[in-house]
Amino acid sequence: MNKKDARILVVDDSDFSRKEISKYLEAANLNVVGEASSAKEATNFIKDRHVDIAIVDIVMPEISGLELTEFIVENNPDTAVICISSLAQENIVMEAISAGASDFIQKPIKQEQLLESIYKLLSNGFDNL
Amino acid sequence: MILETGKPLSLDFYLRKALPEELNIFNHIYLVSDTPLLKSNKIVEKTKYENAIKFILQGDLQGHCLCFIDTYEHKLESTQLNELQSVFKESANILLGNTLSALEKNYLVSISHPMEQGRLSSYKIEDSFDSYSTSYKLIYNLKEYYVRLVFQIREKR
Repeated sequence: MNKKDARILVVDDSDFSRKEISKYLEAANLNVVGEASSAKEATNFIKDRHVDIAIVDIVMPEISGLELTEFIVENNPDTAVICISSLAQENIVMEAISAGASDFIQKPIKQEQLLESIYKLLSNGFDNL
Repeated sequence: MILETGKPLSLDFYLRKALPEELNIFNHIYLVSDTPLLKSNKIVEKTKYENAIKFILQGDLQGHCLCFIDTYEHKLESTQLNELQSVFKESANILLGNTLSALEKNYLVSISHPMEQGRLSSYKIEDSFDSYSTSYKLIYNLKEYYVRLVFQIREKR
């Protein structure tokens, strides 16, 4: 898939992080199709729109990013999930991978790290899902 | 870890070691350590311009962390204040998350999402908790803000 064609959704309860992540992606000519501040908003978004990659914060109120990841992987198998969190203990990373995440990035996020993760997914054609 | 004296190292030793010296957030927010972690007996309001957020801690350590930002020296419009609050909430989340991740070998702790507390003119320290405080400078938009963290925690029995 051409990187410009990939449809990316950013899910984070922090307005600030959502905007900054979207800026990083748009600066690299990636296509951010939406932002969601909660798991509920994210599920509503993907209900009737296709998303290739969802960047999902783990610690969110009400429904966690891990639960959202499980939901996405189960209901939208063509969507890859990259989990992000300020906490990065081994058990959290393993839980994210077990939930179906393709990658995990600890906050503070570095642009090159995020892009590397996305490009890897795109070049694999999501084979790792 | 055991010291040569045979005495096990304390929680504040590990916590002090885990706190980052500096964090660069999205290349335009910087958190720089200002004062080391100290045991505190009471929490007092520094100025009337301090806003607090709270994170609940669970796991091997129980309790919470209160994070304060002081806007005393800065005249901010309400939109600027909202923007700063959003920046502060996420910066505190990142600072705390990175600290607790560095504690992993000794304590496995998770945090809640940040909860806004507003202004806290007085705050009681519960006897069953140990209380520690530390401060950072938050540098954002060429301005420096005073940020302090107060941990009220105890080891899970």
